[in-house]
Amino acid sequence: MFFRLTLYTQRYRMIAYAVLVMAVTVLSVLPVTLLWKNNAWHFVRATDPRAILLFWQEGTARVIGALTIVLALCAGDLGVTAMGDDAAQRTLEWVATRPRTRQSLAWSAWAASLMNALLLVGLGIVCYAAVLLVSTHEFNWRYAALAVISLIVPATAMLSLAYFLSVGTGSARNGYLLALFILVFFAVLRFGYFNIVLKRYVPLWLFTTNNMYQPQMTLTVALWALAVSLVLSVGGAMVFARRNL
Amino acid sequence: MLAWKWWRDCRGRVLLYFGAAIAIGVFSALDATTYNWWMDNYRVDPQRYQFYVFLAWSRISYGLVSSVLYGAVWTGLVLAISSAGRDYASAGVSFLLTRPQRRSAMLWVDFGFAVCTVAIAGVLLEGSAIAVAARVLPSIRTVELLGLLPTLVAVAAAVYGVTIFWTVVTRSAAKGIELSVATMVTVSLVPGAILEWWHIAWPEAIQGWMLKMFDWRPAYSYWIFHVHPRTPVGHTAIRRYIIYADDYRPMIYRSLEPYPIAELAIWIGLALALVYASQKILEYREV
Repeated sequence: MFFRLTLYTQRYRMIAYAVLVMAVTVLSVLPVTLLWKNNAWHFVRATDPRAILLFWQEGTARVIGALTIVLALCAGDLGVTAMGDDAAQRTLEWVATRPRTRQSLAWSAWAASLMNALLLVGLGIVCYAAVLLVSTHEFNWRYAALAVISLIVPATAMLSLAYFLSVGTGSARNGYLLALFILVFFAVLRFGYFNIVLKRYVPLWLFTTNNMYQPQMTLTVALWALAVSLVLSVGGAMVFARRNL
Repeated sequence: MLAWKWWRDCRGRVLLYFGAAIAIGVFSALDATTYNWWMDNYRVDPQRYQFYVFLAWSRISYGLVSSVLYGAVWTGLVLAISSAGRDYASAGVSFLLTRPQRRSAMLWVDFGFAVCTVAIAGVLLEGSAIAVAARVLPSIRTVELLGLLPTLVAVAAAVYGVTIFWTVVTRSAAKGIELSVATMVTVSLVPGAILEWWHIAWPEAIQGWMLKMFDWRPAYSYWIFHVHPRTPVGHTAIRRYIIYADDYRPMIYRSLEPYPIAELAIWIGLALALVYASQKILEYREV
C-alpha cells in the first residue's frame, strides 16, 4: 500500500527527472557520434572496429560523468521524499495507524524510491545505448555494464544516505541538507585542497581511497558503497520503527 | 520583532559558523607555518628567507581562499532556509504574515542579518589567521586576504538570494534547497559541458563570469601557483618575477591582478534582484 503511495507521491518529479535524464544523456553522448564538417554536424556511422570501440569508450565516460551528478541530485530528492516529506503531514500519521508494521512501511518507502532511481538509471542507459547502437550497429556489453554499475552505485548510496538522514531528522529539508553536506565534504576530502593539508593530520584512508588518479569505480568500491547503502537503509527503518510521530 | 525572531531561529548556527571560522583561520595559519618549518634554516640568506616567508603567507591565503568559498555557499544556503524559509514548511508563515509588519521587512531583515553573519565570520576567519601568522612569521601580507572578504559576502548573498527565491516560489524550504543546488550546479557546469561536448563557446565574458562562480578568488593569489602567459595590460603593472626554485619545476608569478569589481557588482546586484523578486511574490501572495 505505502509502496504505491510513495510512487504516487513522486510521480510528478519522476516525470521531470525522466525528461532531465534523457536530455542530459543525449546531449552528452550524441556529440561522440557527430562530426563537424562544412559548417554543419554530420551523424557518423562507424564501421571501423577501432572507431566503434572509441565511440563506446568515449560515450561511456561521458554518460557516467554527466549522469553521476544528475542522478546524485535526483536520488537525494527521491530519498528524502520517501518518508521525510511526510513527517509534518497527516499522511504519515494516517499511514502509521494502518495495520502494518512500521518496518514494512519504512522498507516500502525505501523500495519505491529505489525503484524510481533505478528507473532513471535504466532510462539513461537505454538512451545512451540507443545513440551508440544507431551509430555503431554493435552493442558493447563490457562498457554498458560498466556504465550501469557506475551509475547504480552512487545513486543507491545517495538515495540511502538521504533517506536515512531525512527519517532520522524527521525533515526532508534537514535530511537533504545533511546529505548534501556529506557529499560535498567527501568530494573535498577526495579532490579538494584540504585533502593535501588534512592528510598530514588525519588518516584519510579511513574515509576515502585518497587517490584521484585511480579508477573511480572498482569492484571493491562498488561493494563497499552498496554495503554502506544497505546499512543506512536498515538504520532508517529502525529509526522510523522507534520514532514518536 | 523580526530581528529578535531571526536571532532565536539562527543563533545556534550563527555561533557555530563563527567558531568554525576562527578554527579554520587558526588551523590554516598553523598548518602553513609548520609545513614551512625548514625556512628558519635560511635566515642567513635574507633574500631567500624573505621569499620563503612570502611563500608561507601565500600558502595561508591560498588555502583559505580556495576552501572557504564552500563555506560561503553553505552559509548562504542554510541561513536562507533557517528563518523566513523555514516558516514555509510550518504553520509559522500564517502567523508571521498577519503580524503588523510589512511583508518586505520579513525578507530584507533576514537577508541583512545573513549578510552580516557572513561578513563577521569572514572577519573572524581572516583575523584569526592574521593573528596567528603575525606571531610566527616575521612579516605578513594581508592584501590577499582583504580581497577575500567582499568575495565571501557576495557569493553568500547570491546563494541566499537564489535559495530564498526558490523557497518563496515553491512555498517549501526543502524544494527551495533542491532547486537552489540544481541551479548552482547547472550554472557552474553547463557552460563547460556545452563547450566540451558541443564545442560551442558562450560569449567569452559571460562564460568567464559564469565559470567563476565557485572559483572566484583574488587572482593574485592564483598567480602564485599557476603560470600564466598573459601580460597585464590597462594598468600600471608592477611585475615581479620570482623563480620558485625550491620545487621540482620552476614557476613564475606576477602580482597585481586588479580585483574583479565588475563581477562583484554583478553578484551583489543578482542577490538584491532575487531578494526583491521574492519580496514582490510574497507581497501579492495569499496567506
